Amino acid sequence: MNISMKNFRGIIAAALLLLSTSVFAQKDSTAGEFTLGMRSTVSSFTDAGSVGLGAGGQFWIRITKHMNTVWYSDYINTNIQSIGFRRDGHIGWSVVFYMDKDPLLMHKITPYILAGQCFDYTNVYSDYNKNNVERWSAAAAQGGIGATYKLTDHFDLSLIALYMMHLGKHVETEIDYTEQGEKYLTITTPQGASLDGHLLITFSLNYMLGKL
Amino acid sequence: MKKLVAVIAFFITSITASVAQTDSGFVHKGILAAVGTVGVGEMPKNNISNVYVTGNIEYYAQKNVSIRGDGYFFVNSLEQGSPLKQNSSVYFGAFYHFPTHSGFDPLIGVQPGLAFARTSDTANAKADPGALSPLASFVFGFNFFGEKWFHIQANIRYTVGQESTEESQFNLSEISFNFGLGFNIDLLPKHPKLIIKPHGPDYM
Repeated sequence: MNISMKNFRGIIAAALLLLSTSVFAQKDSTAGEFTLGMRSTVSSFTDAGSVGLGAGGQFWIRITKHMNTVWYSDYINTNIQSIGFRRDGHIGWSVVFYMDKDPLLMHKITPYILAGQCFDYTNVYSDYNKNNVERWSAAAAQGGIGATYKLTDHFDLSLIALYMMHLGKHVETEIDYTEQGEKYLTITTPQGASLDGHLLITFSLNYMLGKL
Repeated sequence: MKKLVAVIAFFITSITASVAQTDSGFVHKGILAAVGTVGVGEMPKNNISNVYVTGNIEYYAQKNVSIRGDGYFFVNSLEQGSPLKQNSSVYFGAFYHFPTHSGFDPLIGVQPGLAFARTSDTANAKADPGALSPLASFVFGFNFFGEKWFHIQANIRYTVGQESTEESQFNLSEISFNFGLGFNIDLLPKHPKLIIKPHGPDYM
């Protein structure tokens, strides 16, 4: 068994623990709220400092007054200094904990922390040697902070900063220079676990459709 | 670019003029609207202008919040020899409508999207096959409901995006303007109140 598999099992165990906590939590009037949203994501701290842009969607299922879940999908494109590119696909979930006494009130900013797991697809291409590397991983974990501002009783704006770590197979890029001083991109796929990842800043608009 | 600035100036003037109107408000929950427009966009990084036929469907989930999906069909670039051969896109997002007391309905929104872009670039004798590229866009504009069934719409959209294929890395960032006529129906028409006669000696 390799380290990434252990990490993956740890993530699943944590998720089950959180879900069981929510099941035993006291029911309240906000439980079951279903919210649908669209999101734009900026990806940074990866691939030689290049910044990527993504689009995606999400839905939220609220469990209790102070706990929510967000299920999302993103497609992110990063131009790596015009010498290569990276495409990321994410499908995942996070559990959201509101620290406010009365979260998600209208015309009020509600801060929260969140953590979760995602399935991750990465495709990196280098112009230099036409190297094109793809990989799927079920072991990416993310955690971070966010804030939601409710513009109306059903409509909100959310800003989330998450650091996503690729715990399974990962793809690393590095910029090198030829003897003539031209830069080029090298792609490596090191084995074993790593905490390498990227910071994802997501802005979303969400509309609460009703209760499940 | 000067033409685009002139169009934007006209757009802002139109908003100012419309705000002055004070007839009864029209905008309400339940409006379903569909609009067809013609749009022009300027890509400052590439110094080219593009023409689009666009359309959108919008539903007012609340008086001041709507959900809207847009489609932009790329017609052509205005410059001879433009490397951009295709740049059609779809967007979906939400809009906030500023409250007014008239049929004038100023709005602002954010719509993530996807573009299918293709250029004339080649690499190793291979033509750019095109690719789906994620987009982020910010929109402000207005609807003007001057009649029960129809309205006019104008939008200014700033789009950020990048096409990345093995053959081409083309910046798709663009500021665009579109204007058109729309059709709207009311999915939640107001029903007349049910009148129940009171019981009493006079009715016996």
